Amino acid sequence: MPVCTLLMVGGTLLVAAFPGWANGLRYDRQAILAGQVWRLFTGHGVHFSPSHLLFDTLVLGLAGWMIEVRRVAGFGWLCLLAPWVINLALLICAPDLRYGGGLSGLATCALVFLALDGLADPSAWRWACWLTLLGVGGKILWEMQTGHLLLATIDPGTAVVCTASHLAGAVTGLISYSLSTSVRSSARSGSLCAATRQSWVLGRAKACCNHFRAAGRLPSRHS
Amino acid sequence: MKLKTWRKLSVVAALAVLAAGCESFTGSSSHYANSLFAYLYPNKAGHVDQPTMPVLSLPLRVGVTFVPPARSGDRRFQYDGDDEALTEDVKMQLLKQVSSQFKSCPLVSSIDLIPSAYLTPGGGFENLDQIRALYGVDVMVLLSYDQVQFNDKGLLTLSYWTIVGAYVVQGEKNDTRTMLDAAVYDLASRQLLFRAPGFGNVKGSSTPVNLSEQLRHDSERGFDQAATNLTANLTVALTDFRQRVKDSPNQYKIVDKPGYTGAGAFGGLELAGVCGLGICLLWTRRQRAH
Repeated sequence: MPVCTLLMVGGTLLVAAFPGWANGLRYDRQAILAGQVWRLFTGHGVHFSPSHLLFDTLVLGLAGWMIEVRRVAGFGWLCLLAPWVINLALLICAPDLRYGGGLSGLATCALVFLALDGLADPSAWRWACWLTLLGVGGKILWEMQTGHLLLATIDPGTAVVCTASHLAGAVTGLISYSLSTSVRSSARSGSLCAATRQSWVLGRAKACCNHFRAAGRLPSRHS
Repeated sequence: MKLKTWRKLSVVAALAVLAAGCESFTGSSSHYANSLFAYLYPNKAGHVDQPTMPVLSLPLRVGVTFVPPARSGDRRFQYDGDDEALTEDVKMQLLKQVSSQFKSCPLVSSIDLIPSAYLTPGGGFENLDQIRALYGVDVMVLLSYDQVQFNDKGLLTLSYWTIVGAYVVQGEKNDTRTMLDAAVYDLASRQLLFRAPGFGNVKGSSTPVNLSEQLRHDSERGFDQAATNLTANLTVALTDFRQRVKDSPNQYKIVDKPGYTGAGAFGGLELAGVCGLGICLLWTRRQRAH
């Protein structure tokens, strides 16, 4: 059961079901700077049109489902922390953005996270992941260059294109995966160290015991 | 009373009745209007603006105002009423009603209701540039109107001959037809972005004594109806305009300015790509299971 994905998508649909909540939850630069920091997280759940909501939730839903099916470690942490990081990046790098919303940044982050994890896979899945990474990278480069979305449009009556959210999502996905990998490897290496340390301590203790036994300060094993 | 006095009274009464009768059977009409064309192109009948691409800096600051009446010397646009149909407070109420449509649009950052006293008759785009500098607006909604009031006499006007009838019988048939027009201009490029009309038709009756008051009341009701109709039409026009901006990016350039509402989004092709990735995942898992 993809619990994290269901929670994220469910939360977004809940926000969409109560449009009155949007004002209190959306990304609002001035409100965030005034202390309403929860908007950094909840802003992702606010969408500006039904099609915006539909595509964003479907892409995040599918990406999240694939991550959870593959049991990629750290996705729970990603869902918990990446929304803050993405919107914090927008807060710093896009000072002109007054209001924002949408899951697309987080969905891009999840896609990059999934694709990076799949690169080590021995099966054909690896090539699909390479293709995804190249596609996401090319798309973001094109968007940054032109200022338009490559394959989608936003209803001009609702909001304007903010390509920085996809870039922030992709970079967050990359950092998240790197952190997740290093944490895993350090955990592994950390346990090795502990085992080594333990064995060294035991070894030293054994040597000390033998030394004291030889000196006659400790009774011999046989006695 | 002497016979001579009776004769005099009879003649006066007969003349009064005849005069009343003559007046009773002639209809009348009055026309109140202001002209957008007379305001924007005064004495420039052959003027044509060079087409340029409107650059919409989002979010937009919108100004809403009524076009002032034509200049007194401009005979092309002289009407009976000379802008007497609307008082300034009624204009402000109508401006508020129309501007409510723009408030709901997230790409509009602010709406300024500009009194028509700030506009010069026949001021043209030069005057609008002054307003732009004064209020800092990007887009101007210019409201113009045309109202005709017809007054016809019905059969009941016969009762006016009794004098008392002129006070109690509503023999005057009034017909008030109103059109309000909202033209939305991008001030920088002087391009008409879109327009929407609103219509109102009020029919009523009154006594001749109460006629002017009733016509004034009908006039206000006509404007109210037209404004309601205009608001509905403006919603449709605004939606159409959004679609046009979406479909024709080479006709309108959209740029962001501080304070815009932004979002990323996905499209059908991206969704299809992710679906493909999902299918690939299922296929590789099945292969592995075998």
